[in-house]
Amino acid sequence: MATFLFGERWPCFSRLRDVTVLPDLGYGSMVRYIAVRLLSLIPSLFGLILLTFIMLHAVPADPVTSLAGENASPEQVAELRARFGLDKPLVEQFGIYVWQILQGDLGNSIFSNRPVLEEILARLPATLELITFALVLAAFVGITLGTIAAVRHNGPIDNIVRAVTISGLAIATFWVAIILQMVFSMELNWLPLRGRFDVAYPAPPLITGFLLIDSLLALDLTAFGIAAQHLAMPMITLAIPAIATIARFTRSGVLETMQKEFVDYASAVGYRRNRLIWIYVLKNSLSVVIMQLGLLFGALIGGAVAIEAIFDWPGIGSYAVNAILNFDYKAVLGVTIIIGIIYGIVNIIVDIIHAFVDPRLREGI
Amino acid sequence: MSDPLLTIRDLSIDIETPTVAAKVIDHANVQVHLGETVGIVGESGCGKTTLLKAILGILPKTAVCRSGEILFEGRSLLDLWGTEESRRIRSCDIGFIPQDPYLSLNPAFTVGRQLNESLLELTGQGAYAELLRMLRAVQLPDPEGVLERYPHQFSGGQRQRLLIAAALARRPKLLIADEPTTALDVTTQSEILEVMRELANETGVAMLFVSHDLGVIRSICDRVTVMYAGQSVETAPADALVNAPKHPYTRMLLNCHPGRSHGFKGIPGQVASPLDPPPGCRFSPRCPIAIAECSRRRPQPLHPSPSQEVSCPRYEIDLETAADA
Repeated sequence: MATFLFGERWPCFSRLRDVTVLPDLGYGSMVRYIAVRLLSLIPSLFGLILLTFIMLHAVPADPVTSLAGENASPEQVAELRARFGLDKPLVEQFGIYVWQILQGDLGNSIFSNRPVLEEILARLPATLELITFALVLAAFVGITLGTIAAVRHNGPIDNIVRAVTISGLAIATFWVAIILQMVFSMELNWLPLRGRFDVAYPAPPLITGFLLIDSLLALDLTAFGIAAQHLAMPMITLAIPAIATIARFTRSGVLETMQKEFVDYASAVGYRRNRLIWIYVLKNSLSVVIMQLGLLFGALIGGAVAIEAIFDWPGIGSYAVNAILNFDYKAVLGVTIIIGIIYGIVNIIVDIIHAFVDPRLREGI
Repeated sequence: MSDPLLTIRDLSIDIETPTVAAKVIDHANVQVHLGETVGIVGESGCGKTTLLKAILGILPKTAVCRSGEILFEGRSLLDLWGTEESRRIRSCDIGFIPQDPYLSLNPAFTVGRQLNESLLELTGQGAYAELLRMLRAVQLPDPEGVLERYPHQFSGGQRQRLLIAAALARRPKLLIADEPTTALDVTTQSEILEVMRELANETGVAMLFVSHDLGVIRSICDRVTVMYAGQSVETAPADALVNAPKHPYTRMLLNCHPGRSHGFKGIPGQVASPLDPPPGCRFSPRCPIAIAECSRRRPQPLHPSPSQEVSCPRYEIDLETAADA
């Protein structure tokens, strides 16, 4: 029956399912795997666009009336409506929009009248830099804390880590952000209050879009310092809930692995304790954590919206907030699509790392 | 005979839970001399595996040693527990073959990486060459290729051969095997035993071999210690133990063997629980020749002959007549 369902009736599905198991050998099969996974993103993205489109049009708000102003005559409103194509039936609007996307055009912002794609791409590196460094920090701290807690199971360190992780999840990030600003900027004057870079200092040449990396590539340590100082507080604020999540998953993963017989065996035949825990046990425990990293990336994009607003970080989070407030629906759709694509790609990368850590996945065993 | 390589003397171990302490091992005695193969036999739950864990230093944190000592070449392993020296002894001088080859290898590392990890101490390149030699000796084809593969790519028998090779590659003085064939099917069992016997003869390594299977023990061991509910009840040369068992438990255990001429008989009652063990001799509640004294004091070891030791003052009394009386 299963063969009938998945093997013959929907041959494309069975092929997809086979290939989503990571191949073991060879560059060619890896390329094929990535290509198939990218293709499988398309239906998800289509669903995402459709849903966002419907939701935007279900909301009783109208960009045209606010754009035209209170004194506009009905004729003027109708003319604006026609210019944006809003007078056409919804299905047709949707068709036109999808056709535009297929040509790599996300439309123009209703307010700035500039291409949405261009505006997003200009702001994307700032957000990606913030999220990437927050996630790296969170993974590093979270995995370390979780492992120490598991090794000292039920000891005082474990209890402290548990208390810290629970409060890390419960705490409101905007509150942390404001406290950090009050202490480190306003009291101690160690870190800049907001922004991404010092306007008085020339920015490093744009290569990757990540200021930390670009300044290093330009061998400009002053610029690196400025960028790092600006990044510190928003990064830490964003990382705190992620640290808590990662520490919890690492702790339970390591605790579970420590029960395994191969740990006893390794210990009995004289593995050094540190290598036993930080290499032998940890690699086995990271499966769940790595899956979490993909999900956390999505959560951090959401978290970045508030944090970018507080720290005046010029990323797509603050862009999205403005677009929603102005009901700039092309911009909202554009942000949604770009984040969807990034999220999909990140999860493919996560799956590849996962197979790297767990050899059994490479053969689908 | 020279000083023994391994001496377990009067060892008692409790596993403590929040409410009770399980008296898992009660005044056990085992000795292994250089080049000798000693078997420990007993039913499941008699403390065999706990005894090995105590030697290997992998007892759970809840385990408490109440009395006795474990001496390896005169050094007390219990005192060294957790120190660098104890780790070096386990890494260089003691080889361990675990019970379950399926669960004893880490699925996330290649076989070569994890087997080498425990051999790092030794002579680096020399240890690697020795590992390859041993992989050939346990009849695994293509040793270099084997080391680059992951555990899930091997069968159970192959994994056990890998673990035997790893244990012997360090040229240990003592090899500890914890029911190394239980997890395998019967034909693989005999092959593995054959490999172990050959290699033990060839290298002259002393071996402590734990099993619940008297047939396996008899085929591979020089001397045997029988354990019951955490107590070592009888020690004798393998042939003497099987042909002329002294302790009533050993005699009844041998009668349980379907192939014996006496006909098949079970042992009435159940194995004493370590949570609430009977006082004195733990076998006394099931023993047909027990007297009141047996459940008052733990019997002292007696020596019917220089090579035999039995912890029963009434070992000369016949079970049949006692049962009839």
